[in-house]
Amino acid sequence: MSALTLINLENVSKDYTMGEVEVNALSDLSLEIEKGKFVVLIGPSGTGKSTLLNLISAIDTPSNGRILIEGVDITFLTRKQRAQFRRHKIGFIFQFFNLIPTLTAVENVEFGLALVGVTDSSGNISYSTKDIHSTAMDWLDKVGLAHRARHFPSQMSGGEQQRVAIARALAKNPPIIIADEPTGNLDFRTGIKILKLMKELNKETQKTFVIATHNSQLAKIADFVISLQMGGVETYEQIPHDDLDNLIW
Amino acid sequence: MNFLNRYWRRKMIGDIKHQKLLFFSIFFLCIFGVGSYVTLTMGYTNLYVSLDKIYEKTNFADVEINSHSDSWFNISKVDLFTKNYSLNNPGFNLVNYRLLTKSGYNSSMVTQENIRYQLTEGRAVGINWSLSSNERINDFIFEEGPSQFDNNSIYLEAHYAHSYDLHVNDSIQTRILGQKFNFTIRGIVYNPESLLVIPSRHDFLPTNRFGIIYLPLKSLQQYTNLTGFANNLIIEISPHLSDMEKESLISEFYTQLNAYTNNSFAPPTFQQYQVSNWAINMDLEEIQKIAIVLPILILGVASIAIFITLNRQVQSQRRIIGIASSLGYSPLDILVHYASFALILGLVGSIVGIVLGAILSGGITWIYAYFMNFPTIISIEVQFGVIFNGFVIGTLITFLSGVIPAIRANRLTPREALQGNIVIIKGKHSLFEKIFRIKSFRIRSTVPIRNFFRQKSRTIATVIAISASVMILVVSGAFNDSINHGISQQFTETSQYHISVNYEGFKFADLGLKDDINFISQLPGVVSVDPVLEMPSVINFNGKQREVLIRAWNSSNPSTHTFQWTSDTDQLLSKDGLVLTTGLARTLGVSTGAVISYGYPRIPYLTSALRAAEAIYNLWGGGERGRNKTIEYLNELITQNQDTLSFSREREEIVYRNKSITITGVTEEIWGSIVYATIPTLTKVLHIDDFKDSNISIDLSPCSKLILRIAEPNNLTLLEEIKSEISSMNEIRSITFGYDFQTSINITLTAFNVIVVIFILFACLLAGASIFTTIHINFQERSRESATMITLGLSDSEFLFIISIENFFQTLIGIIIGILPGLWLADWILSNALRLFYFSIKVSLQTWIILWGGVLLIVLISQIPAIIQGVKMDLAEVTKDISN
Ligand SMILES: Nc1ncnc2c1ncn2[C@@H]1O[C@H](COP(=O)(O)OP(=O)(O)O)[C@@H](O)[C@H]1O
Ligand SMILES: [Mg+2]
Repeated sequence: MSALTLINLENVSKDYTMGEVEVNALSDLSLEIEKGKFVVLIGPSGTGKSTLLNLISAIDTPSNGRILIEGVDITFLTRKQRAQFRRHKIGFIFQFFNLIPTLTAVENVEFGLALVGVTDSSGNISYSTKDIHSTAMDWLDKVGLAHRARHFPSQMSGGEQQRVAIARALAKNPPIIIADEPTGNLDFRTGIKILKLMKELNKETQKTFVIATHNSQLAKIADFVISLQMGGVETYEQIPHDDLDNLIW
Repeated sequence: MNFLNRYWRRKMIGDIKHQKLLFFSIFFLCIFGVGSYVTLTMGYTNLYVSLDKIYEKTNFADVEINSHSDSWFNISKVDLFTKNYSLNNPGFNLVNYRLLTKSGYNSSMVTQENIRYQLTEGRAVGINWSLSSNERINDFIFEEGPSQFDNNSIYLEAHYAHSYDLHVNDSIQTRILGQKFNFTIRGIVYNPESLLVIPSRHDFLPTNRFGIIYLPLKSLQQYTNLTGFANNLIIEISPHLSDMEKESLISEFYTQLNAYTNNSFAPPTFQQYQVSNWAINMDLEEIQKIAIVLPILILGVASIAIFITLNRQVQSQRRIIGIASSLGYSPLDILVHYASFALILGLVGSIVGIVLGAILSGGITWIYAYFMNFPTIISIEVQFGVIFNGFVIGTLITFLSGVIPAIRANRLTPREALQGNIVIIKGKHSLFEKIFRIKSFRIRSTVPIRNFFRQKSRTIATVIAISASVMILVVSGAFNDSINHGISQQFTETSQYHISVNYEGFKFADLGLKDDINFISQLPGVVSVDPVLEMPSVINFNGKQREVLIRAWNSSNPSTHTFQWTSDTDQLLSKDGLVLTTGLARTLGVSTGAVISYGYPRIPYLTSALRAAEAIYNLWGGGERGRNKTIEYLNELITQNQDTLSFSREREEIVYRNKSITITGVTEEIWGSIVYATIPTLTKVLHIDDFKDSNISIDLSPCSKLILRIAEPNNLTLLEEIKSEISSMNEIRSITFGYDFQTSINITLTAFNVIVVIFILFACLLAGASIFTTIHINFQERSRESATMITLGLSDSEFLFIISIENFFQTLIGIIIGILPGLWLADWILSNALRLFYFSIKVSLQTWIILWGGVLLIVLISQIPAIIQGVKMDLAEVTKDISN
């Protein structure tokens, strides 16, 4: 394990039991992901992409093997510890956006921030509502939605909602951003915009992005590709294709 | 039908499996609502049916004719006439001759401290023992016995037997016309003419301490020296005759009989005016108001809860509806699915409810009958009207609750339906939201506040369900408290009545009353003695009429009674005016200062006696001697004509004269038919005070009872000692303790109380169930949102806090909104349901605490299954779950 390793999976398996039937979603998977990478997880439906993301983000626990994040074993954390872990280490972007419908755009971002507080340059954590609000507004500005701050999710388009979700995920300053099919519920053009935004933010913040998609074309934009196929797993590093506007899928 | 389509069928089963608790609750609400409606309504109506059964079985007399008081008829002479009459009038089935006399009993009662003896009054009924059971009218229902009957045997009426714990083969000390007998009880019986024991129509309350014994006519004739005589005729008429025909047959009979016997008989009393039957029907009618209103209320609240829950459950399936319609299912297909789903739920729920309700209604009838002290012959008649109502309402509400939201979802385009949020949250900030403006974001306050105002339909649904539940809880709690409070205030603060000494008829001031009062006043332990005159009356105001009892005190400020005035100007005037109780004032719409008309009884014999007395005074030349002679004359007259000189309660008919009078006050008491006055006010209208004010100067102020206040009212030994001293006085009919009186009031109120208690139980269950379903669906609706928050790292306790605080505020508002209609409804029922009593609305602190605490507790408990579900929630699945 190199010093740059952020996520480390060692012989991880995940089985689901559905009544009598055992479904083997992942078997004996080992891989390392380095800090700051833009990782794309590709593979047809049902190959275990979501399962893998759930394991990394401590939503679920592996049946076998262990998972280390920043060198810490998260395999046997309690429910409470896992909530703490998700709170501080993971930013989530969902396929269906999952904004809280009763909160405005800025409040949705504030919701994420309020969980961890705002850390200033000297490392002090502030929970003041003022700091939280201004940070949330900064992030809305970064995703280009400052003018929509007081709008409710139902008043926004899917793309706008997903941007708010991105702001919510990044505002808390977690080392890892997890996105499961983030464009799955968006049209092509909007999807591209969202991906572009994520790429930019990856460059700017040096956060590790792990994005799952069934669309293998999207692998082109990754620094690091994890390809889950029926046969097994294949990982490779690459120079990403940066001209997203000409990406075809 | 598309309902049979495999996909839909699976989906339906899947839905139910997924939301077991929710469906179980909706199902429960339906069963419970319909079931309790059927149980309570049928349970009550079956009382009538059971009553008819009892009457039929005992051959209850169609009519009763008495000879005038203190006169008897020769049985063989009258029998000759009736035989002849029935030959010519085939509808005239049967006649029984009976002899009724007053009687008294010395009965013992075991109290906590020792055995107490009570001198109680009653009636002995001589009946022709040789009649076969189908010749006998007003026959018995045996509760115990009969056993071997001999010369000394009697049957004892059941209510009295219960009061004094008397059984077959016990003996009972009886006095008949001053003679003492020791009878052996050979049967404890119910009789149709005393299912409620009320000595006469002019008695205020039923009493279980009025002993009725039944014995062979011949024996009673012997004891009373009336061999061959009777004073009571009971008649049974062919059931095939109409009421009109019966009535004309009887009036014809009565006219001819009176012609034949030289006007020996008082007018006939028809079955519906027979005192026990009359009072029962009156009571049943009163209870009807609540026995019918309360089940409807329960059904109503259950319907609201079903509607809210099922409605929201279907609404939460909008996405599924969207998917189905985008797959090509027609709106009709989708509607049929939800319609059949709701219909099945409603049908099964209602049918199960009806079946359970019908079975349980027998129990409810039994409970009513048991507490009303009826023989528990229960007959259950399936009432199709009630079943039909329950069925239609239960099915229809459930059906509509499922179909209405489905229709609404159907109107959306598939794209709209597929969109995530159940409620399209509007951008505009409502007024309330502006008031509660969110300046800074805090998870623990902002999220609940936003939810509260933004999920309006959820908030409204929760508030409605909780306020409906609170409403019925308030109604039931208020009943209980108001009755308890009313009774306790009446007997602790208002009336200081510990012993009541009841005279046979009137006792007049200068003719012994003053001596009696002096005698009693000096007995150790007696604090004060108030003479009281009670007389029946009828009061009228604005065309509304009520039968009342006027209780007249000797002074405007009686020592044994503290009026609870309702306004500053209220008072009891010493010479004029009436004081009403709150209940009467309210039902008549009268307030202080109003002028009403009231009837006072005509006592013709008294008027002529007074004229004669005046003549005697003049005859003896007036002065001291004339006065003494007059008193002597009056004393003799009274001992011989007790009954005719007062309004005897044995007499059925009282002739009233009307007079206008001003209401000078309204006092807050539990009596629904008592009016207060002073004795001088009454003596004036009865023209008795003329005598006092004339030069004869004999005070003839009459009194019918003395009310005593005792230094230590809880010292039973002292009470017994005082009583035994008073027993030796003349013309005393009975002596009762305030304590026993309070007991008999409680007994009278039991039927009402029983309904109230049953209602409280049902209300609590229902409130619990409807709050549960509401809170439960509050969770279910937002599982995706909750999962998102938890995924983002919200801890379980914070999550719980957010949800609880929101439910808490909704509950709070629900409680506040539910209280007023609850109080209003309780007040309406309390002031309309009872004839004899009136209870002003009171809710005790304890009830408030239980209500608030209980409802909040139910809310907390209702959260538990949902919380468990939340904790077990598969975050990965739920954050994606499109149905949420
Ligand atoms: N909660 C679950 N219970 C049972 N089987 C599951 C569950 N989640 C996923 N699976 C199964 O595991 C496999 C991988 O699923 P998933 O990780 O969702 O794949 P992908 O995201 O690549 O489409 C599939 O066969 C799926 O059916
Ligand atoms: Mg997936």
